[in-house]
Amino acid sequence: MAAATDDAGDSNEMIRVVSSDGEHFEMPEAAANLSLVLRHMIEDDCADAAGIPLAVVAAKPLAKIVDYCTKHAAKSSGLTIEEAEELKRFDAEFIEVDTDMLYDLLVAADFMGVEGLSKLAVQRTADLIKGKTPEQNRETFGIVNDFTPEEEEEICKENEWAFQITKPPSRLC
Amino acid sequence: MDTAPTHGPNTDMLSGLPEGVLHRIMSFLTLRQAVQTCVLSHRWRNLWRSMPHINADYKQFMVMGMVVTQAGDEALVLFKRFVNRLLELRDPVASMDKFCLWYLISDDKDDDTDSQDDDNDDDTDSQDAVANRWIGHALQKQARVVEVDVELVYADLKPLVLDHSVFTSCHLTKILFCNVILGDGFFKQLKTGCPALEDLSLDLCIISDDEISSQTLKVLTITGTKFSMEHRTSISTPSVTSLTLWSPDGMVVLKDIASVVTASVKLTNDLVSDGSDARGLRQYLWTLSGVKNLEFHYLVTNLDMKLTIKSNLQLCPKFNNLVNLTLGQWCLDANFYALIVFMQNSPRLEKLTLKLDPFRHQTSQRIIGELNERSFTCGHLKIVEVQCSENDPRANHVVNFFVSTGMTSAQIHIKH
Repeated sequence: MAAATDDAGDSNEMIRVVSSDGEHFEMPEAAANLSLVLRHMIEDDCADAAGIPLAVVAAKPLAKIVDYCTKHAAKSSGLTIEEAEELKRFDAEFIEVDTDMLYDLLVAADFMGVEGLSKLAVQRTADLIKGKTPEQNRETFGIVNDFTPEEEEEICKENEWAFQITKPPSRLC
Repeated sequence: MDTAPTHGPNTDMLSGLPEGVLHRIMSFLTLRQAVQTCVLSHRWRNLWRSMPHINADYKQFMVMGMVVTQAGDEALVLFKRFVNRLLELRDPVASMDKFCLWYLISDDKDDDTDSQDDDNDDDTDSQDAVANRWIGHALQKQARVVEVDVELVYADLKPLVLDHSVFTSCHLTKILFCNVILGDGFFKQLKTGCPALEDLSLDLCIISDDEISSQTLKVLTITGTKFSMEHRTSISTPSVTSLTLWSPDGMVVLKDIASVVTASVKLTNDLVSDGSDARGLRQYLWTLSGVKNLEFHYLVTNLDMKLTIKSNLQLCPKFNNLVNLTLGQWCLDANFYALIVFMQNSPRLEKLTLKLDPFRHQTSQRIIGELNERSFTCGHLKIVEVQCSENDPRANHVVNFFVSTGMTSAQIHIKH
């Protein structure tokens, strides 16, 4: 592949990226442009045959991100209602992942500046948190309760106002 | 990053995320649940105090299974206490980016004795005063975006009366108001107090000023809004590129909108000057002569009131930049009068869309007028799209009309 830098805009160039663990991926330039970081690299002529190294993104999430960007870039402008719905279904299926992958996607999408994916992953995380007790949330996300019993009591007291009506704070801490 | 992919079930994953990502996650939770994350661990303890995006929605405080009016009152009390607390306990140096308020007006303010002495008691403050205080707080905290969406328990209650004296902020770029009263001097205050404001959206509001003027606004959206009946209201927003004005209730004059590229205008017949006189309509069209994309509707509330277009009246200017045009069914009246006039004056038009109301098949004529010259050439016109219900006989008339001007039927799309 030649250097993907000659033409700006709607070129059909493929952009290569390299994961932190050394795997190579390819995606159309339009897909790469959905990442703010990749777009800036392409604009600065940093996209070459060797591929853009992504030091903090491992192969597993990167494969997903390439998949996401390729799908969304192919259907970006002038969507019909059916296409928009199909894309929505794709998103819903795409984000049905375990919490490990969700975490990796949150980090990678934030790092690479893929706004749509970032929002999707953030929304998914919030949906997992919603309607659960703090204990359930600790369990889902492996959050360790690092408060001492005294601290816990203090927090419950100072934030009592936020727990009124729903449930008594004593049961939540 | 340490690339050990085995997080394991007991490794804390979320807490390692950047604060910005955690704050974004919290912005998708209810306000109450966002604050409640404080009990999770040290990392989370004070995150809510610096959340930059506050979604304050009274509906999250509704108790299920209650009559709406009663549930609304109960919810409001809890909601006010909660938001007051939240704002009071927020990190005083944390700025706010976005403040979105969904508010409910449930009582008749005229019965309210506004001047209660004990200002500290949240529950006796008037409903308007509470909301205004919160908005003021958000602006003080440098909010870029302020959205206020008010619901009324009874339709005849008075919307939220906004205290515009708090609108002094060089950070505010976007405002969205629904069901809000903007009293005398509001727009003057915005002009001098909010020099970064670019996007203003008003739905179902009441405006009493006689001038809406701004050098900085780029997007202006006014829908279903009442203007003063005592005077004309002029709009002078020379930097606005996108203008939406739907069914203004009152006399509105577009004075300086020279930069508008995209405009969507819906007018109601009884409010365009005297209804039967086409000069009001003409005035609107002439001020829009520079647009590239135009949607223009002329709606009828009173079918007896017909618009008479005199033969020497030049209804349309030359739309030299117009590329996309969308018209309502009014353009088919009086033997396609308005449609032809638009076609004659839009030399660069590429796409025409006609939206035909599915509920009014019969062509009740809104317009009286006769054209001396009915021919036109639109050399750039590529697509005509007709949106209508199935079996709408007018679709065929439109197809025949354009085929007779030399278009092929492949260029004419009918969408149901």
